[in-house]
Amino acid sequence: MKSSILLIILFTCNSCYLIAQDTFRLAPPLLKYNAVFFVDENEVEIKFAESQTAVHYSLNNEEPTMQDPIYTKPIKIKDNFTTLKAKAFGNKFYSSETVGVTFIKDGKPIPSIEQTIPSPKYPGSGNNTLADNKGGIDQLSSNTWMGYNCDTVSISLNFGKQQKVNKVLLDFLQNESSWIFLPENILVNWFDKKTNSFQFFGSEKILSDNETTGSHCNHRVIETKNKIKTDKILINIIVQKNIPSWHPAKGEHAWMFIDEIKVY
Amino acid sequence: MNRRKFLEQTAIVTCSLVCMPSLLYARQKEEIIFGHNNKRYRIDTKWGALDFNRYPVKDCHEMVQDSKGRIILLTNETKNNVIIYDKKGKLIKTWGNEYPGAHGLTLFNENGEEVLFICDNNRHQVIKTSLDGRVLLTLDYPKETGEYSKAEEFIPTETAIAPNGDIYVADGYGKDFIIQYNYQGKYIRHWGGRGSEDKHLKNAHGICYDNRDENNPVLMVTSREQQAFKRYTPDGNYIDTLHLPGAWVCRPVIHGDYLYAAVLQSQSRLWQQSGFVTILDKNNKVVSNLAGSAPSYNNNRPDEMYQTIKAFQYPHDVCIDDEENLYVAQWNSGHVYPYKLTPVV
Repeated sequence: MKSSILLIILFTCNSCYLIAQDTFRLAPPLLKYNAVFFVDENEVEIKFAESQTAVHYSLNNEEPTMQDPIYTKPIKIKDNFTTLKAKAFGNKFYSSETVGVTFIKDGKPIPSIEQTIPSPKYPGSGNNTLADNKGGIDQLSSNTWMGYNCDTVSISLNFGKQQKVNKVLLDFLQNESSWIFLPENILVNWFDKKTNSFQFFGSEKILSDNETTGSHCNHRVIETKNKIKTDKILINIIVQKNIPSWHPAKGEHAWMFIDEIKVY
Repeated sequence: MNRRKFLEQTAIVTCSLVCMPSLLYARQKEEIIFGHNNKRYRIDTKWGALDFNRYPVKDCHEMVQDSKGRIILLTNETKNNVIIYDKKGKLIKTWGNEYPGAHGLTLFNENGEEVLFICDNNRHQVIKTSLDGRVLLTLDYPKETGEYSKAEEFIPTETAIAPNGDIYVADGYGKDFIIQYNYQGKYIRHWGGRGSEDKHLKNAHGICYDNRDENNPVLMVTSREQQAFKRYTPDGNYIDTLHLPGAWVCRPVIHGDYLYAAVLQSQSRLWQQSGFVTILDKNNKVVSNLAGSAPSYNNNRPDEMYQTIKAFQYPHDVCIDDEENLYVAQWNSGHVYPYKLTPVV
């Protein structure tokens, strides 16, 4: 009997001690790649140097579980719009949040782009910034971003020859704590050689009703039902003129950051 | 079965049922040890917790230990800018209501009497006090430098005191100059500031007098947005840069052969509560990251460091006591009181 009680006390104390310690969540793993944009193939590394943990990942846009593969070596990406999601797991910890990135393959060649001159603070990296397959980096200090705080940004894409197209992709930065918002509106027109005038291709209005945390890349795709044939596309991006009321800088003019355009 | 036997057996069954889930839990949740190599710790997140209604904190900015073994915390909460604990986390006393921008806290033994240097961001001043809060000296904005036209441009974050009493002030939220005064507060020289050369600084958030090599003492200065410490001679000549990729290091704290620093956040996850603590050995090589990635090097340069465990939010300073315990004060982390980490032997 005495030994039973001793055993119980021992177990109770031991387990109480262990319960008393905090349980922590793992931080999300790091996804490392040169750019989300690629021509033929891309490679991504996952970094998470914490012992007794494993990073599981998926490539089907599903939330990674412990049944998904464990990351061991760099992953090759070949298909357009492949989304990699990764999550760290460990017995001692709550699993991490999921991190993800979508890789975007090059589209039609765009030999010439003209755009509104960006802010001198965020000039990008030259005339070809929006078609150089560099970027998708969620840090505003990256020189892949062109930053604007004017009302409207016009971008003219010249293909040099007639191309059949039905999709235009634009990649933006969303970092509201730094006053960088998605635009209010994106308007795309295509040049119709027959009528010698621009025709409506598509548009998207974006609401910024809810705050997002951190800094993210956010690509938007404007699509037509049928492919059109054109050698020129004109894009007008309407920057948010009034930062929404939920933001500490409400009423101020927002910034818009763009780093890449693809046409399919 | 008699009543006594019945009660005994019931007690065993009841206790077992109570214990079983705990045992299962205990097996699942192994003890968490933070850090690497010979710098590994257990954490106590409740160490500094006080009655918030009576002893509130805003940002817990910095901590030091005095010769009596007491742990002194500086917060920008003007109800009690200075909170003094014993090593067990018991409150000893508080003082201070006039430091709304209390940020930097340095302790110096001045001919046997310990004094504190407080950097106040809002007041644009450095204030020297006794350990019980009596003001001994105030440094206003350094117009003698010719670099400043008004007080608001000077937002000091940290001081370091040389053995001869010279005061070095880091203007980490202002113009990033290091300004050197003598012990009486008379301007001697300044250097640093912003620019593109190695000798320049970007967010000179911390400074310390590093005398681990007694024959060659240096000033170790934080260049936080560059994720680096920069070393200067005591008269302000640039020596070299310790690159710490990924780590937004706060002030360097020298204790024994080691350099300790709170890392406010990881470069890879800015403003997402991604802080940790880093420890460098006497050769300034990273040997341990608490709640951060295992240190590794490539061509004598650390690989990118980052938070791996969400134990801290925005660590802002560390203090190492005379028993090698480590305390962590945090900025903008939900009014959290300091944590204590005990070395694993």
